[in-house]
Amino acid sequence: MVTLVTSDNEKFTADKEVAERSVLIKNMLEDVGESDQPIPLPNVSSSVLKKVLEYCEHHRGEPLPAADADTTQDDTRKRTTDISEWDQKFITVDQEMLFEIILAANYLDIKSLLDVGCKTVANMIKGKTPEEIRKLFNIVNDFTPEEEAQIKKENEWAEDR
Amino acid sequence: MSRKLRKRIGHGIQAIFIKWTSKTFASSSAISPSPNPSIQLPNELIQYILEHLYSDTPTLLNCALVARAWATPSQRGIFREVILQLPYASSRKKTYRLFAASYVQLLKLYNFYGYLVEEATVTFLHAAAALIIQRLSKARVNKVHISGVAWYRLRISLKSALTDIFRAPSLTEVQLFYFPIFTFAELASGYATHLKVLHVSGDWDIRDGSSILQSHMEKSVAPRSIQLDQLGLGYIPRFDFLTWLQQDSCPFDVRNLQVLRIGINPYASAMVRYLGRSLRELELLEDYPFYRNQSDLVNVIPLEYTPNLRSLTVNITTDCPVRYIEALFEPLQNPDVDARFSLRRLNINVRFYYPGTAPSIQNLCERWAALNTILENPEFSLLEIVHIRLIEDLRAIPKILREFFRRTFSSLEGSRRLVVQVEE
Repeated sequence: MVTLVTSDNEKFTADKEVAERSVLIKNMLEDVGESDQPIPLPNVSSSVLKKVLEYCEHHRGEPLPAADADTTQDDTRKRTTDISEWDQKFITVDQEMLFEIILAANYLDIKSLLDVGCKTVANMIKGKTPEEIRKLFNIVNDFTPEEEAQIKKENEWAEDR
Repeated sequence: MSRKLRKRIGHGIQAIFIKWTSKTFASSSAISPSPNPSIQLPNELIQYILEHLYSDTPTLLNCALVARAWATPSQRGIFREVILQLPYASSRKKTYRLFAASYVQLLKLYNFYGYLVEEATVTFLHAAAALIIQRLSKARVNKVHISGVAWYRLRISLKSALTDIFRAPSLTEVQLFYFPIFTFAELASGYATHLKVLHVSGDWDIRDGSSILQSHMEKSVAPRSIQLDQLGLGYIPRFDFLTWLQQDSCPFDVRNLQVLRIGINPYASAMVRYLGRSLRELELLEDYPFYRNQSDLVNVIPLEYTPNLRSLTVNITTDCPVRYIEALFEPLQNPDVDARFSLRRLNINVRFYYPGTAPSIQNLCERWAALNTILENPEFSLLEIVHIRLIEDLRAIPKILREFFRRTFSSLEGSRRLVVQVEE
């Protein structure tokens, strides 16, 4: 078993096999060797780690993506936004939690969870206007009118008219 | 599903087709957006999210206008792939002013036969395409896919532009479909030193191929100057590719080939025997369903010649006899020798196509149970995943089939090494 300590100082125990779906934790465990020392995760809160461990538990035993997974595959292959049924239910959370899960998956280096989160956000963006996307992400439009006009002009080539 | 963004220019000319491949997806409405989310995602993650939208140009066009940080990653997706296809429609102005050539990674050139169009128009269209291609050859285009381009009918400007792009140092992948491989080899050998992936398919125009092969080929190519990692050979009925690859004068070096995609044809077995030792990935294409000739297993691929194979993909239809799949694995089974096959991943893509009476579900699954028995053997203990994709084609896939497959491959399912996916 592995003990993980969250940013709000809560302790979680998990099977090594489950925790090691995180490449970060796997590397840390390899570095410290056989030890009962708890692993601090200062960038992950308890509510988020609970969700992350639920994901890792469900996908326990599945093959991890190889470090060189992309080298022999066609790198133009299109990423899709298809999400499996279980993952879709799992990721049905409010937007704050969704972003927290994405940040945690990135920090903990769990590629499959990062993909599920990013695909979900990509699905949320689909069909939205620039203004709707800004609202969704709380982004300020920092284009000058000239810059915006330039982008529109450049993209004319690809527009459906 | 593919979407076409059609461009029209003045003068009533059917000119450039710029076609963006895209897929429509059901949008996720399950997540309720926060009214004012306090968490901001860093730009690297925004970029990663946008990469999942690379097949959705209309959305990317909106994303490019969100904010400065979103513009570049969105445009990388928008201009990632350019398709020039005849007959095409675009404005003269736009044709010459392709923005962001540096974002283009893949150029597709389709249907430059020159038929059914008046000469002046052909000249204009070829010149316009040549300008774009020349610009792209100076940028970082690394993939070129050519389909149905009659070399001998191209105007000089377009021939020259294609020569430039074939010789671009950034070029890593070329796919030729109905385009003479000899012409490509002659132009690229000695120059395309970074080319690693070549896929050839289609019976090219013999007038192009034979003349170059017979009169110039051996004199003008740099032997073994292109070292390939991946080779794809689809339907090429009139050419023994292997004999050519074995000739000292051949410009391609395949001694360290890692990936082979090959149609099941009379040359495939010999090709695997010749190249098998270095292969890590092998895909058997279903471009000619030879197995419909019943029990013709002469061309079964000799997997015993692939000691380092990690991934095998088999593309078949539902009327493929399971005996074929069994025969594939038979030479690897040897209870007297304590040897394990190196295979880690087995992908079986089953196109749901049956021209006659539909086989019953039970019949289908009983046939597949034989494969499960084989894969339970210790020789396959290194196998990490068996991915079965059931692809709908002509006939609907019964919903219950996925469940039946899971039961059929119960031991793989039990050890969580089975993925069954239905593609409608």
